[in-house]
Amino acid sequence: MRALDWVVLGASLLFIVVYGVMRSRRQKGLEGYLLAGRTQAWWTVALSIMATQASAITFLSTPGQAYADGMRFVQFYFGLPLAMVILCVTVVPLFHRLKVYTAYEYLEGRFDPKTRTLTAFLFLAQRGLACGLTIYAPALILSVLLGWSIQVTTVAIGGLVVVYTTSGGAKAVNETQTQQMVIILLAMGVALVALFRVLPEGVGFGDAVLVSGALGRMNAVDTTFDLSNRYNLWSGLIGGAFLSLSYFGTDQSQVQRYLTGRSVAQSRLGLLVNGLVKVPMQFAILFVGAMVFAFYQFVAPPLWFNPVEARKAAEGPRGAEMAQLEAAHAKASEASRTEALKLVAAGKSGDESALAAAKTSLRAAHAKSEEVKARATSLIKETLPKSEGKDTNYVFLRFVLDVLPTGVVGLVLAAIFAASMSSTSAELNALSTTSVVDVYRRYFGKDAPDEKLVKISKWLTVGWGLFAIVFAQYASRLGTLVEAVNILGSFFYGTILGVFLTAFYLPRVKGGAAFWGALAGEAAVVAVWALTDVSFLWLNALGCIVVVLVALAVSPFTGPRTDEATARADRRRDRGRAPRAEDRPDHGAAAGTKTRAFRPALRSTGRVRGSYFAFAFHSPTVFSKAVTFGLAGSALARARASSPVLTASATFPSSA
Amino acid sequence: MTDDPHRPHGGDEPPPVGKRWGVLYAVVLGALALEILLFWLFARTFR
Repeated sequence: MRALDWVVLGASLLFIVVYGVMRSRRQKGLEGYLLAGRTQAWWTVALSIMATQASAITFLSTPGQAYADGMRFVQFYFGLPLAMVILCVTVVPLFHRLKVYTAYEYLEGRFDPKTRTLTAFLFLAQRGLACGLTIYAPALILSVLLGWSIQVTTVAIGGLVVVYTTSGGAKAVNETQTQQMVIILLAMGVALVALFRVLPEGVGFGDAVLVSGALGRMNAVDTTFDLSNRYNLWSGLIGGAFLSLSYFGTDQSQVQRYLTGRSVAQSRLGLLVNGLVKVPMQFAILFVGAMVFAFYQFVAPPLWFNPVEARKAAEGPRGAEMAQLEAAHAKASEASRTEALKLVAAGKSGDESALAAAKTSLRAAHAKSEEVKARATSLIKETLPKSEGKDTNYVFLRFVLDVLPTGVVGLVLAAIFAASMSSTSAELNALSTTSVVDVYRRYFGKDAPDEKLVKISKWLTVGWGLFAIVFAQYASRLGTLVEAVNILGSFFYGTILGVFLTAFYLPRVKGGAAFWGALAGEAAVVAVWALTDVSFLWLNALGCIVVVLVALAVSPFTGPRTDEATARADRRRDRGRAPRAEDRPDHGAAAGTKTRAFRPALRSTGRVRGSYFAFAFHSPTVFSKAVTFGLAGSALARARASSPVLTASATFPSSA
Repeated sequence: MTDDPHRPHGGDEPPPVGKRWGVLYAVVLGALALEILLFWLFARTFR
């Protein structure tokens, strides 16, 4: 790190914080603080959604993923645009019309207060821990590569976020995320250009792609249908779509982003832009990784990209063996480099047979290099039991620090900090919102004025921020626990989505049928997980489909509800409810919505026999619990996002 | 249909860009199809 890098890094971070505070000073009322007054334009919503999904691990791990495994990870995102369209048709107008602050608030209307509360509590518990991990993961990598204390990196990332998120609420989160995405995209673009400039003399862009492709790193699409293959076209399109539907439709950190849109149209367009941009953006990030791989075919890479682990192994009891591996690696890299240059020459000659022969020779030389790497991996795992046994998370940043010019290093580091801060701020904002809306206002402050609720929200943001920072200090001790939680969490995504889809589109299906559908969906997911080696992405689709089909099949055998029961439940729900902003005569009209028109319908559900609302109130308690646990599972699965012990490839938000 | 708040609606507000939501949805899905085709060609070309 040179002085210029420090200036670029410091100026970028300072700009983000000051900009966020300045742009969000005049937020009025609870809606203003928690939902930016529902005034955001589509481009802000779009960038905010993208920034929330993209954590620092995205920019640290994704290039490393391409380096080690090629670009096939891009298929993971093929289902996202499909999900965006479905959500635009279903969830977005629904949440806007009901004027909810949180996804869990909606559950009270659909089910009952205790389902809402339980779900909210589970979300808070999971997200609070996940927020700490969101800070911890990049802090760990930065501390290892820069030699900084992990306390410094966690406090630096967490502290800055707490300042502007507390100060400006959702508006500050959205505004800063816009700037953060600009910094992130700029840094990736500059890094790619700088990468081509550091390629060896005589090796151009096309040559780098040729070499990378010959070694299997350009494998962007795999059309083979194989259930055990984690990333192919079909698992990405189908499983990825279900996963995206769950994440964007039920996770408050994302739901809150598009609830800030000033109308249904603005929120929809924000999601659609995300659907348009996300896949090419991920392709570009993976392409950077593939190009880093190509670069290291001409310049000898480190045997182990994590410098701390490499040093410990070299200084450990098997240091001599490690030194031998270093020497063998240098020799294999040199042989691989020679073959890579021959391939470049063959490519320029246009001789197809020479090209094919050069590819074969390069693959053979690279295989020897990979063999040495595999032996080094075994040695590191044996001598350092706490090691993950992989170094892909360190590839990109190590490349940046070792190779890229001054200034670019500072910009890339700023992008990593920005990505971490953008995810963390959205999480803190969601935690504060859920705490105050679903817990405090629901049970303790029905008549509390907005000023008091805003004040409590601010204190809760500080509290959750401090909790996350403190938790991040101890996250390294939770490796196996986090892993176990992640495995459990991935069981529930499809089921909860199936319940929502049943509620939306099958009005004749009643609570009992949906309950049996949910149970059957979970049973199917658990059975497939335990008895087969099907990739986890497919579990999302499986759970959802089984819920819907079983609910349909059982529906004729479950009894109807009465209008009187609906009315009783409705009266219970409205009893003691404090007047809210949305009850004002002018509310909704200003935002161009039809809230006033919908409120009477909401209160007189007895009139809408067989409606979705009726379905919700008929739901048995056990069914509510199934939904609660399903939602909790979907939230828990999000813990993958920040887990430093898991591969980026197994996560959705973190690797987005 | 519009009296039921818990039912998803097709779209009562014109999009800020273009005239119909269906066209925008088609653009997003069409772009995805095009991307998959291009990525597939890319993977076939460089292997």
